[in-house]
Amino acid sequence: MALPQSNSAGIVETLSLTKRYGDVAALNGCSLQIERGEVYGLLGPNGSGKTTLIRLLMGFLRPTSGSAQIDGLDCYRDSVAVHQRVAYLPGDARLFPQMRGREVLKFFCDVRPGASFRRALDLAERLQLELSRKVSMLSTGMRQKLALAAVLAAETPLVILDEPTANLDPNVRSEVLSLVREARQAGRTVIFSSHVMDESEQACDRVGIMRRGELVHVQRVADVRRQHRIRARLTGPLPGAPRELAAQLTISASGEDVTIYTPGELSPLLGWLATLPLAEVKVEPLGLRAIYDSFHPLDGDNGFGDRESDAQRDERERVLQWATQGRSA
Amino acid sequence: MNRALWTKSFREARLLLFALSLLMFVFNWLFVWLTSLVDLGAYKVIMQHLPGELQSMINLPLSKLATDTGRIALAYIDPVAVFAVLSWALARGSDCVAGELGRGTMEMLLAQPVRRLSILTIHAVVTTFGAAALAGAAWLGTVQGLAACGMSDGVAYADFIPAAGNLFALAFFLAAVSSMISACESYRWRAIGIMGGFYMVQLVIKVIGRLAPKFDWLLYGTFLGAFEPQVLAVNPERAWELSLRYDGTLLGLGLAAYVLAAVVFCRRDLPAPL
Repeated sequence: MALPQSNSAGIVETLSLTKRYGDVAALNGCSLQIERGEVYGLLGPNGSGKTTLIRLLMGFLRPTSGSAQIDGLDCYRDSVAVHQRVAYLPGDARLFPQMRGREVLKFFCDVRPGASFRRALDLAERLQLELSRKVSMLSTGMRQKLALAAVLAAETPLVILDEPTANLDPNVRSEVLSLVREARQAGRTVIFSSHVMDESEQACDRVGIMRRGELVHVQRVADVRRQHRIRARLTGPLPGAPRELAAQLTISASGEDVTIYTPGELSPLLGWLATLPLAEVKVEPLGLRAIYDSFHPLDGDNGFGDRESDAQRDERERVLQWATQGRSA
Repeated sequence: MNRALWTKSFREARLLLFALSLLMFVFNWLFVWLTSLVDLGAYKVIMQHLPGELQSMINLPLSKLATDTGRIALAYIDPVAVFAVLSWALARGSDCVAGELGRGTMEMLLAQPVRRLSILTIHAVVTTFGAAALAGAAWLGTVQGLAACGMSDGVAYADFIPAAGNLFALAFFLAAVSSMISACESYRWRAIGIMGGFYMVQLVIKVIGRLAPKFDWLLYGTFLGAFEPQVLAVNPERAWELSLRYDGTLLGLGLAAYVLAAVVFCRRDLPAPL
């Protein structure tokens, strides 16, 4: 069933979206735009506002202020029309316990015009699902897979997956990531909430990092994939970098320890590195983890008593400064 | 409205409905049979010796009570019949919103292109159909009992139709109020608790209103004042008028409760599954 589509480039748009419960802001002034056909990751610890944002997009919650639109439709007021365009997998998907797996898939295909039962069965087979058992007799992981098959059977332009790989074994996790990539290749937009950095890095085009109810940073993942950090211990003084490299490198030195950040390809740098008086060297991709950690440092109130050292804090601030300098997507 | 939702709702209801309908049918049949075993003259003597308070509770004069119709009509206010109706209404009504929320299935359901009002309406229609089925089963049980015990000569089957209608109206009202509480709640057990407490308070008010003449005004403060199926059965000449008053009150209040439930459910935030 072809649905009317808005002319806007963004399929999801929120403007100063806020949800408060009394004095507590579960989501505060969130403005974001998600382009059609991209996989957008939501990262943040528990309570950072990811699920509240998703539930506002689904129209389950009434915004305290601000607006949320999907395909030009108000998420709260036009929720039925919005749901025709969205397939949603909750973080803790619960299905009807008295139904069998096959009946669950049939129900969700019948209730949504345009959903394909054939496709649901194919997905079930890919996810190695046992469809003859009642939902109440399925393990948490099996229920999650069943819900995933039911959700992805609908050919909607937007798919929202809230921690889709929680409770799944590694094989099925990679299958889920394949399904996300396939959805993207089919031109569908995916919002992908996860705690697992590797998954987000593999699956997403952009990620939004949330902290205490606010969207604090949006990062293009392709940029992160190219970024590297080189830690080195020198036996002599650090010579200056060649002019053609110096502009793009960020170098910080503390005694004989040197940290070099590079935003692009490593190969032009390797020749210069070979000329350095190296005692030790470690080259590592910076990764989403480093960006994420720069917004979510360990502190005294994390409940585990871990406290970051001064050096860790300096490092975090450097990464944050470097990663966000003109690179926010 | 969506056929899949209708099917789901009927499937969820069918086992309880079948069990309660069977109970209602068999109970009414047995009630007639047991009644037929007691001689009417002896019954009159027993009734005359009962305390006046008990007769006040039954709300029938002895002249009406000590008839075949009067005796059989008591089946409709028997605790077994009320239990069946209450069970159906509480189970269905409380499940409507709080039940789905508690099981966490509401989120998956509402993520589909389905209006909240449709979910509530389908649930209410199936529950109302079940209430009618229970009342119908009670009446059919009475008819079967009368036919099987050879009492059909002196008793008209149709006299019990208004009584069954009053039983239906009670079930409708109770289910509607349960649904309203359920629409405001996130926990089914709490919805059942509130509804159970409400019913008990209303019952106590009715008992006090009946037993103490100076408190008879209390009967206007309880919906159970409109639940008098035995009165409807023994007054066939006034059945329409009384049905309109009693059933009209229960159905009207029930409809109002359903409207309130719809308003609350359509506007409320949907809590995350616990």
